[in-house]
Amino acid sequence: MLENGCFKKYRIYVIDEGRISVDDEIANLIKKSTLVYFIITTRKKLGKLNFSLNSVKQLVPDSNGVIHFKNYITLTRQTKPELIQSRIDYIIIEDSGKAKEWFKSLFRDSISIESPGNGKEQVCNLAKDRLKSYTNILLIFDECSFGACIEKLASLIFKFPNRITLLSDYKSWEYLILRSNFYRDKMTPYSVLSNEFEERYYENHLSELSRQSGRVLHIDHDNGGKLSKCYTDACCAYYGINNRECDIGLKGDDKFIAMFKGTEFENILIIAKRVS
Amino acid sequence: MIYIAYGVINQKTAPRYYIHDIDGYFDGYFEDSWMKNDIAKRAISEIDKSELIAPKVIESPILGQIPYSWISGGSKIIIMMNIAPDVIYDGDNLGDNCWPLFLELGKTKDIAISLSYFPQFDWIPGGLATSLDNGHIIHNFDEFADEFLSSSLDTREFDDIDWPIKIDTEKFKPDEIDF
Repeated sequence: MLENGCFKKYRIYVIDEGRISVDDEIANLIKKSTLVYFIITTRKKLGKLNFSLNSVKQLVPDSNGVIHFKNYITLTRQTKPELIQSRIDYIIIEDSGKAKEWFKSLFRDSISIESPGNGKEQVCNLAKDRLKSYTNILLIFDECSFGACIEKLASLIFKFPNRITLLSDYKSWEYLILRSNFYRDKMTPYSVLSNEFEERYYENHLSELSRQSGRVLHIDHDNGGKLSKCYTDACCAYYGINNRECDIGLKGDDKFIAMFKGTEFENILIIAKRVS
Repeated sequence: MIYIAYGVINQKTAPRYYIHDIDGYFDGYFEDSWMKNDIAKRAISEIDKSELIAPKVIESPILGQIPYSWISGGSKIIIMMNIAPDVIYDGDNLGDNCWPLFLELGKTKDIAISLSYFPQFDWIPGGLATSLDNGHIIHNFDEFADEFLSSSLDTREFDDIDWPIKIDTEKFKPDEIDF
């Protein structure tokens, strides 16, 4: 049944509550078995696995007794007038590298942005702490890998329902950039057959597409360094520069508007008060 | 009083008197006397929406007549807590629908659990719990959420926790086999 430490046939496996604890060995098996769906029923934190918030479901009976699959956390989308009225006074972001740098530029350094030292595990704890001093906090975390922290997020939202804002559909910063006007026409959506976790897929895909677009645009997740100004400043033509190292360019002297106008992430321009 | 240690207990080093596999313990050690009390009747009625007919027989509106081993893990843990409060339980076996009755039980018995998930339920009047992480007494759901949010939820060693109840270390010990 197992070949090279993974399942090789199309199957759905159900792991019932408490029967198997997902340790490193099981997590590896699940990770490698790309042909298999695993349904794990548990209330335990599955910290060894990398899965999205939306893959955590609960069974909820309706008034007719019919049971439905529902997302564990139900979030409400703010309307455009609500977004215009909203006032974010602090930002907590899971990432500390290029993503943080990019969001700092998006918000014109007008709002403090903080990253917890030890990654996603501490995002909600830090938010709880900062809510003692700030009124409305924008939480930015990689939704496609935040599933293991869902209980903390649920309790945070319960405790502060009107003081936490999340970015809708923000799977990761790489996904956000892939969905921008730079790359969205070339982007290939993630599939479970991609042979890697969703978060990693977006990192690799952005690296590939940005490299093809020109050396100066290249974003390599695994390589530190500063974020190219191509993602924050107006394109070279606006500075009278003829850049032969770049295949793509966007019209407009506000790069953030140019990147997200007309995309599914247009709302971040409103939150950042770049458009009204 | 209910005592809560937040986090996951390391299964590999946890002693036998830490009840994690509720089905294994309930089904394996079951005695008719466990069902002959009001808490067992209420657990099966309030949690499973079923009726206790006889100690080993339950009438379920969906499944018909079922044996005691088919009741939910939530009902099983409440019934066991009532009978054997002198061991430690994995509170992750308690679903949202078990907490009101669990809090009720805590009014008359000292019960200690570990807890790593965030149950959502209506807190019952007069229900009390104590966080073993900091000694705070929890009086309502708002305080309960606050304590959960403040905890680290790390994996912990059973012996590193100062359990405030007198644990019967001999309970649920397997019988000696005489060859």
